Amino acid sequence: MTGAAARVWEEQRIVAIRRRLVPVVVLAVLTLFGAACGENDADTAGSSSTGAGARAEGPLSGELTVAAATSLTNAFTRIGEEFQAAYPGVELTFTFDASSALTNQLLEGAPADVFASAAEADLAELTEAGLVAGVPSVFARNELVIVTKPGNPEGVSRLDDLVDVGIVSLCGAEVPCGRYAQQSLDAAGVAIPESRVTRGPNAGATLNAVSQGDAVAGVVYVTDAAAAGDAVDTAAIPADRNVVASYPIAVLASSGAPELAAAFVAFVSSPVGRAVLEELGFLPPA
Amino acid sequence: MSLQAAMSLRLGELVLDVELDARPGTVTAVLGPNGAGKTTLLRTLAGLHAVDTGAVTLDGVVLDRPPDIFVVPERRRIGVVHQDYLLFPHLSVLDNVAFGPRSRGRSVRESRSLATGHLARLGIAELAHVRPRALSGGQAQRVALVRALATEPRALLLDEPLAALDAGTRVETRRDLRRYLAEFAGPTLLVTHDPVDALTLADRVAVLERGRITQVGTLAEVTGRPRTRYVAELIGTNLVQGTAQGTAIRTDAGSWLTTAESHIGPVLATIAPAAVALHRHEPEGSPRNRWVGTVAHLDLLGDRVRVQLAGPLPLVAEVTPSAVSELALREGDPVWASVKATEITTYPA
Amino acid sequence: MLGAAAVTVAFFALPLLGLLERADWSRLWADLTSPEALEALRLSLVCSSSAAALCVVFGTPLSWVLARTAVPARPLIRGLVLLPMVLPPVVGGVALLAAFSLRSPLGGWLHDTFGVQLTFSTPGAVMAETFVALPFYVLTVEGALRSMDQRYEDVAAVLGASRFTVFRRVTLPLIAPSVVAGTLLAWARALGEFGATITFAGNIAGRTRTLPLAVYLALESDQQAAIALSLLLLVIALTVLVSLRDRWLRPA
Repeated sequence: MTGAAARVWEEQRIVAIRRRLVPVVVLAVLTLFGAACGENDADTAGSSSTGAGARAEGPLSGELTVAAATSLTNAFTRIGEEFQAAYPGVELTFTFDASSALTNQLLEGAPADVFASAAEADLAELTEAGLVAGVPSVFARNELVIVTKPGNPEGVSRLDDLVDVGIVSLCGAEVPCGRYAQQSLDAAGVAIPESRVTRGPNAGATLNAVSQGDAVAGVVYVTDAAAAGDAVDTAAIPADRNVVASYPIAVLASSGAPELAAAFVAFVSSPVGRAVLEELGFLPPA
Repeated sequence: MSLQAAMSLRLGELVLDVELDARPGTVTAVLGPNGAGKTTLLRTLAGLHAVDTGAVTLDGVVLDRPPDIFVVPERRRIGVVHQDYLLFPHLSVLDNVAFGPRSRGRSVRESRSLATGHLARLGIAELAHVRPRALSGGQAQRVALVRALATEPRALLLDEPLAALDAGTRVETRRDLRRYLAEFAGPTLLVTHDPVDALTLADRVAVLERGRITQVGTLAEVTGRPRTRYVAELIGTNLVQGTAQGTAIRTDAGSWLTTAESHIGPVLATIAPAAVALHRHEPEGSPRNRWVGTVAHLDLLGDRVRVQLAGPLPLVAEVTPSAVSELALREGDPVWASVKATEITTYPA
Repeated sequence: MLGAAAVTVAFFALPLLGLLERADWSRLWADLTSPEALEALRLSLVCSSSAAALCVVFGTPLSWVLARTAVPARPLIRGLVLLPMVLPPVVGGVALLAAFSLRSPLGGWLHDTFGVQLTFSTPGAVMAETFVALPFYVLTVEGALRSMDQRYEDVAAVLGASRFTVFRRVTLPLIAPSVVAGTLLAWARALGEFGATITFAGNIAGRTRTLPLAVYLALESDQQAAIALSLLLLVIALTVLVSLRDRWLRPA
């Protein structure tokens, strides 16, 4: 679990670096020397296919690149397996990162065929930029939950308890999970001093600060908490204070394989996709 | 009361196996070719290498005797002057000289005033605040000597102290060095490969070759009766090894020599190159020793030509350039050589 | 040869130029002087300077041991010390967590006995930075110790200096340029540290959010601020490295 979590963390970071931080990273090589030695040595990370265009052989074969929110990592990995079992000719590649990060990458021209986000606002931004083909559809929803160390030694059961425990791990304020957490805390009238908040760049890193590090508690998606298994305990956030994140999915205008992309989008909402999502803790679309 | 060593140690390729006794108030020159182990010997006496077997003593105090005694360098009170002086580049001359007293527990002020006194005594007080890199070779050599003397050492070790100087400076520095060494009460060991140093500075000479002392004595004793080819070449004479049966010597190479002196048993013989005469044809008359050799090499040396002969007696002959042209000597030519019996000095090996 | 070198230079210069081209100069100053940026800058300077100081304090004796003594496991020790140079810093952060988090025996003991918590603390950020910066210092200083003329140390010993005096009055002054170079390199590396810091010390405003972390976070929300902060980091680091090149890496 530890290794896997660390690896996911790393890959997310790596993807982010590769997609969008390239100039910054090379810059870091220039200025910071070894700094970059460590941080961009990630050529082993799966590179998404740049030739995302469909091949001419058949309608449902070819390469497909799906950009998806970190919180979808487990769900989409499994849905992807099912999809490839159903369409053996397809070569599927995922890029997982915070939705906001992926949005920026796509705005920068990162090649992808499908984008599944944890925030409708992100897809709205892309739609406005003319990067989306068709209308995004919500395929799942997710809720927030409080995670604590196993056994919950500090006795955290409500959002109010987060005010006076140790370090609280939240997503970056601009990342969807961070935005939702803020909305949720605001709804509860809870203000945690920023000096006790560690900000993860994405949902996975935020959870890791609790499961691996010494953060006392955190606010993440139900699905992330479920995926962490025994590494964390959870405390539910009442519905009136919870924020339900809607996950929209859309085919991107730049896709070279729009039919294939549409097939994947349909597959996610198919009974097979729904079952996987449900099993991992996602709520069905409203 | 002296610096004594009877020791051996192995350091990489070099095996040092030395017996030495340097007496107080005397300068012993350790003369030897490059790679003979001269510097290693000094470093061992200074405590920078430990001996494998044997002992080093100074004034009756054991400095190194495995397995139980080893006095670290900082406690030995031995002064060392290196060939390239090794003055600390980051310290002024004054602080270089004050380094020893300071390291031995004196205060900064005390050490500096001591150092100033030492510098004044050697007449280089004006250099006190100069950085070593600004010094001339001769000055640096003097500062290095003062630095060693400032620790009031019980013995002084000088490693080729004049080798790095140019010829002009060397003469002057050598003269001064001689004066300072005369004032030093302890034993001095002077490593050099220059016989002139040994001649002008040393009371005794120890010849070190391939890690062993091959000859000890006054310079006159050593050069008068060289025991090794190295010494013979150093003084420019021929050395022949052999076995005497009266006035006849059978050399180790299998030739015969007739001498004036009579000996029995293993002997060494020296023949001055000038005493080796060369001829186009077999010489007539008195020379008892005559043989045919080959001209291996010709070497012009001032107004003389040194002719290296190959053959049963591979000696060096020294002739005038006119003799060379008269004899039409060229490398590879056969030539007759002769030596009078009275020109051969023999002594027991 | 010259052409290839030019390509290499371009490879390093182009991203930098790209960054300059993207920067919004009208709001650069405002971005750099925002409270968040100043806070991150202050913290970065404090942390990297502390890390560089720790490198000197702990790295110098280690370098000496590696260069001068025949400790049996020397290659292993050196490998261990240099490891952070080639490891992804995140791995370093995870390793630090394993050793010093509250749930680790050592971290737990520190907390229970002294009330010290390293994770999510500024000292923790300093530790993470020291972890990745130390190899740069050790490598530089050990190299200098090996290449210096060790006979100066012999001379000092023969003059009566103890080992420590030899080190203090002869060795250290002679390798001073490399000590400075190593310190600056370590400092620059610490300044740019990201992965180990965010993993071990988290990302807390004013406490562990150093410039690189602020850059990363800003990228999610405000790219211009991220570019401004990146430029700041770049200018600082470049200044240090250029001065290093000119003053200290020259052969004596």
